[in-house]
Amino acid sequence: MNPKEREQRWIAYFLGEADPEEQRRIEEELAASPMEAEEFQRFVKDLHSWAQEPVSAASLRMHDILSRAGEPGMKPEKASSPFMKPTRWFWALAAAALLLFSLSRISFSIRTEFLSFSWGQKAGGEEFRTLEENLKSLSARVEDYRQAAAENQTMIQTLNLRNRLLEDNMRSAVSQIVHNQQIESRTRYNDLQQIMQMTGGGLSSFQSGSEENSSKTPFEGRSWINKSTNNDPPSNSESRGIKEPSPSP
Amino acid sequence: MNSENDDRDLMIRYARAGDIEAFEEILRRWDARVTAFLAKASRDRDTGEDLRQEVFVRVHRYRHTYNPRYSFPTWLFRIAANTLKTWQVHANRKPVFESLEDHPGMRDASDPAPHPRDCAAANEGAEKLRTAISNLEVSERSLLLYRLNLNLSYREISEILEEPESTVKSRIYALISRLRQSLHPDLIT
Repeated sequence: MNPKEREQRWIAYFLGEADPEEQRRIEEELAASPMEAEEFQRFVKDLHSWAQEPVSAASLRMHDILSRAGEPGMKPEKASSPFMKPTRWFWALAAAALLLFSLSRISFSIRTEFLSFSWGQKAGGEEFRTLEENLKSLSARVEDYRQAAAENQTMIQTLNLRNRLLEDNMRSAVSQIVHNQQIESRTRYNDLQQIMQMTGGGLSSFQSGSEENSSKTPFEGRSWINKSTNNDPPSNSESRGIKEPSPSP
Repeated sequence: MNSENDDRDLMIRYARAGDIEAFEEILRRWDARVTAFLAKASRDRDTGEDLRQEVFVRVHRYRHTYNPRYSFPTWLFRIAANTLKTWQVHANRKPVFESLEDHPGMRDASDPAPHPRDCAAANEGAEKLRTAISNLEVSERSLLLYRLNLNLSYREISEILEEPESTVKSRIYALISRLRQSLHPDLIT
């Protein structure tokens, strides 16, 4: 048995992993080498004492675990560091303070046609009086603009009314024109009727020779017309009270 | 001492019924052990405390994923191992060659044992061993702690690390052997 194998068996023995028969054999070997056995025993003892040495630490609290796990209803632990991390509010306040400080250190003025405004160390009573006057002037101008707007509004209403009247007039004029055209058409038609009566069958002068077939009534050729000619339906002209000219021979 | 079944039952009560008292009992039972494991593995007590809190936050957050088929310590220390791994990645810690005993938090105030440096002759070996342990990787220290501090079985450790049981056993034996050789360089390998 080489030293390596023997060491492995001894390790098993000192770890309590050897079976009883193996234990007996190893104990015989240990008895045969007392110096080495003592060294091995001390080594294993030191190893165990390192492994089993307790570590002092504060007990873990249930609350700490649940709050760190992000459980609802559990407030997060306060920062253990005495130097709290700056919050967003802190930075916002710092920025506001810096802005105010900067504004207090600079002076500027705004002058326009209607307004004059100054800020800074030079701003005093005179500037405030000027500012007051400018404000009054500005108020008067605003009032002027308001009146002008009211007048414009009235004008717009008047124009709208006028437009409406014009529309009505135009509509009635168109109606009149249409009515006159109808009267004129009817008069012309009556004149034409009279002319045709006076000429007596002169309708052919209004018709071309190729339209002989058209002298037939539109209902000719239909069976019910041939059966009872007395009951012929009136032509369109008759129904309208207009006497149609008799067909040409 | 608490039994494995008790821990499992407590976790089931907490996971399924939201029993806060069960979780408080789990906390009471495992807080110190988890803290010691993380502090020793990370070689820093404050880090251990921070990581301990993170571990229990994850226990709370992932309580519904607990599978009663596995032992509670296996599940708990798998979370602890993952937390440690995440910390190691983020912190990108390099090995610090200082003794564990140099950190005041690593020694229990109530421990009546004298400081190793106070009796150098007697505990020279112990101090050397601690230095050698502090030079190990975090994962190597964790491996030793699973077995020697938490008394987990090789099967449980293999479940935590998702490695074969035989591999875990070989690694632990190899580590112990390496530590012993670092104390006695004259030993034949």
